[in-house]
Amino acid sequence: MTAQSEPPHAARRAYPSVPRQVYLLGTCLVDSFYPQAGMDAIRLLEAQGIEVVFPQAQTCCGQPAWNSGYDEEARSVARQQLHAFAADIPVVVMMSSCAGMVHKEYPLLFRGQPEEAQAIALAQRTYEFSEFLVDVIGVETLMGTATDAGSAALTVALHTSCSARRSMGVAEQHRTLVENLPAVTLVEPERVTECCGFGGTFAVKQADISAAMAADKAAAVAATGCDLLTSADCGCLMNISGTLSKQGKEIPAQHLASLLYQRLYATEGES
Amino acid sequence: MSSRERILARLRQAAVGDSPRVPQAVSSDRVWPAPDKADWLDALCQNLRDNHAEVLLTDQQTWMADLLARLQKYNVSRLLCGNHDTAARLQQYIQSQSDDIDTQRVTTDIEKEVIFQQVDAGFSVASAALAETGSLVIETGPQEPRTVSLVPPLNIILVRQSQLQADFSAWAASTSVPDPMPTNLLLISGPSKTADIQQTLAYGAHGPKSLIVVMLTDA
Amino acid sequence: MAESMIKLRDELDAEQQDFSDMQQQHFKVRARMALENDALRNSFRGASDFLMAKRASVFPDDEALQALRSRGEAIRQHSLNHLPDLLETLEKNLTANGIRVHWAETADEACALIHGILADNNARTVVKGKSMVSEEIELNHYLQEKGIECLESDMGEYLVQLAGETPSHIIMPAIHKNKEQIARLMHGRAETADGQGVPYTEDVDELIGNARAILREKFMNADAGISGVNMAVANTGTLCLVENEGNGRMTTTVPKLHIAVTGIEKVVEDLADVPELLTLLTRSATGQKISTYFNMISGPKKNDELDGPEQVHLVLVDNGRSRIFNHPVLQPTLQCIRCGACMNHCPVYARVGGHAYGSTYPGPIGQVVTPQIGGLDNNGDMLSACSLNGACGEACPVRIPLPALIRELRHEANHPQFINAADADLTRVKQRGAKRSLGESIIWKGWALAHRYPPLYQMMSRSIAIGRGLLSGSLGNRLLAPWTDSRTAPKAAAQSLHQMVKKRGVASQPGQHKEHEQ
Repeated sequence: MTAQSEPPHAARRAYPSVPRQVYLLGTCLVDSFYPQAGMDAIRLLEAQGIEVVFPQAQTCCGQPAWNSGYDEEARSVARQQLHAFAADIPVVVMMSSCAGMVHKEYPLLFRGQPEEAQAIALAQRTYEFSEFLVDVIGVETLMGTATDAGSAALTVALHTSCSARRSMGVAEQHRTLVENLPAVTLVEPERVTECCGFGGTFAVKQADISAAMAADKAAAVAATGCDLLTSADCGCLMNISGTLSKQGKEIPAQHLASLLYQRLYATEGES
Repeated sequence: MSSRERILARLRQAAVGDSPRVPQAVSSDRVWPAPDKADWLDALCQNLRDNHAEVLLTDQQTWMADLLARLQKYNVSRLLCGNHDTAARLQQYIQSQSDDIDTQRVTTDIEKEVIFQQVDAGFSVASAALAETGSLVIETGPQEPRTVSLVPPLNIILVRQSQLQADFSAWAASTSVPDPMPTNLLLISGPSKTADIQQTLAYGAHGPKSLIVVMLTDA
Repeated sequence: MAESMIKLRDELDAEQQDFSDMQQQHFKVRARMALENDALRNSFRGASDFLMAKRASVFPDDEALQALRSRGEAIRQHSLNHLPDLLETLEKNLTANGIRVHWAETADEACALIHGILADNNARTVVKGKSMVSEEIELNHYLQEKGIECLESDMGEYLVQLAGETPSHIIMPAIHKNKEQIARLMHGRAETADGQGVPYTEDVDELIGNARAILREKFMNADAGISGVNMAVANTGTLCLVENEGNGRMTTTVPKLHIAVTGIEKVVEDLADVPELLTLLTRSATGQKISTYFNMISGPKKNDELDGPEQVHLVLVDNGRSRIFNHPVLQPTLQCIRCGACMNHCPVYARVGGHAYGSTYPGPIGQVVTPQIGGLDNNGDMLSACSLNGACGEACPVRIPLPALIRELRHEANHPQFINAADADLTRVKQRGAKRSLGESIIWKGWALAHRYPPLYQMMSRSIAIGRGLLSGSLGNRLLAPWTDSRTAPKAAAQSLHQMVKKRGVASQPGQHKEHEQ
């Protein structure tokens, strides 16, 4: 077994037609810190006529342990997700890094294990949130279902996480979604492709370096003069907005799902 | 066992066969675009100029006169040439036209002090030129000493348009590749340079500060 | 001597001492020192931005770039798949060309071999072309102890040697210094042949001119030249060197004796493999379509030739590479063509610079190579200095999956089973398990337990919500400070998504009907 290099650039994955039912893999960060984003994602998917299944048995994809080199621990947690998402329906993942974990890393994590085939199958039916919206549902269809297209002007800074950009290759999907929102102006921070310094346990184990990276990213976001910061990765959001807020620069931060839902549908009073 | 045997034994014991890393065949299909033949000359000149070289577009009739004018502009008083016919003709011509330029052909072992301290310019003849990168191919040997294109501050390289090729890949796949290889084969694509101080380009780091390419467009 | 010169020299000595002291520190301390040094941060940020932009400018067409990278990867993998055979072919053809081949298992053996060749030829002064392998085996230090003067001639390497430091980048060794610092260094320490120093100048052309004058004198008089090798072509018995300055050509042309030193992985099969690797190398490294010189050496001076070295030797260095070759996951480490693009694109390298790594090879490739060559015990700490953002892997011209290799090395470093450096099992990294800590492994065991059992997980996430403001139970209290020193603590929501979803009646299993629609 040898670590795989990235696939040839041209090898885009094939997408199914819009399914009747999908799993939502909420991710542990959304679960505890951005649950509203999860609810917004569910409503957004339901508005497309898709039934959302949220297994209560889901916990964490196992990425923190895997990235730290604790393979056994990662595998034992990932095994739980194989059980939780066992049925053969697409899995939509709220965060790009967790999507990358399941889609790209599970086959490696389970190589030579009894669950290898199951892991590969899960990987193949796993989609990152924006990828599912753009490549399975389609932007026009999505925008066509909007009920509240006349919102006030909003300037949005998009932070595309490194896993979205490089592991899942969905940076373009993120841009497309934000760009197509009515009355929204998309701005990108300087050095847009650079890591914000989160990196999971990296932020803790190399706190000084992580903080330096976060400070630069926060400054770049602030310099855009945006009204709102959005991303499909809550680790990055927590990192950047936490840094901004420590510096006394309060810029609202939202998961992409919440931004989409709130800009496309009336949200007043709904919980 | 010697170190050699131990190293090779360790390499040979590496597991093969269970690797999913089946390499893609190394094929000769071109994957990097090369300029069209019609653009070779322009591409070569542009690349050389981008790399701070001067290109003299000239012909068999006038190249020696054109070059002499350049040598005078550079105040060259001592020119070193290889030991080939072209150099012999150039030497003859310069001797007939100018008393100020001492042209020497290298026929015996080169004295380091002379070439390092007294020679202003070196004249070399290329065996090919590569359009895509603006490179001159120099095959060193008894006719074409290695230091002529390296030590003097001004490097002059003559090349013929018929020797142009698309790029290094095309050259390497062509019959132009000498067999056996010369002891030293060079691709030269500009004057010596460095950006080691704060990414600031400076020419003449160790080798020539200037490169003049004499391109014979009718040969 | 003028008082100002005495003062300058004292300052330079003090800076050199600071450098040595810094190199003795732990990785985190070195990183912090680098982060606090504004001049250094500016140097690296500026260089990274510059080099990334240069690289991008010579790869205008992404599709062609990706195809070229795939070709580069295939060439390197093909070379590695046939490595022992290619090395034997290389040796045979080099020998036929009159180049003598030597094999060294270790750094010490390589140094001793090179010293032996120099001693056999009564060589007392050596000029060196750029060679990272010679840095890796600490050749200069070895030869100096034997009384041989060994002068670096690559401009950056020369400046670094003059300062008594080590390179901070594999392509641009003095990238950490700005021109004011170099002006002081040249004025304070450079010695010309006539014993005079050089005047103080911050003009880059003048600085280079002064160094040129000093080094040309050395080239002319050196007894031997030592160079690295960028690629060795097996079928033709050819050593290839890539450079802009001409010092590589000087080193391999002017002295009577040329010794090339290289790692065993640098071999390629055929001349046809060279052009694409060369174009990948120069475009990725410095954004050049090609370097000024591409120098292909296939033998010493022949009898009828008028110049060139009388002897050419190649020292093939293993120094841990055959172990890397045997590792089931980490073998692609050896695909590296040493372009430095991974460090130019690494956001961590851009912040801390090359010296923080404390190793010959910094940045992502350094994090992968160094622990494998030197063992995980001494070199494992740098592995945590990576956010796995993937920028290095994306830039690598031969598609080395660097993030995956760093992750694998973390696994090796934290492995429960320790193996010592002398372990005969070559499929393991030297000193596997050396970085495993009891505390950390207990945390991960607890984390796994909590995330393996959904009821336990939900209880835990609810307890986070109850104690709102805690970072995350899964990371633990002791980990909070590194986060909150520069960020506000994230607030956990009052209700978890699990709870909200349940309340809304979202199905937990396919086919399950919504129970209480709201």
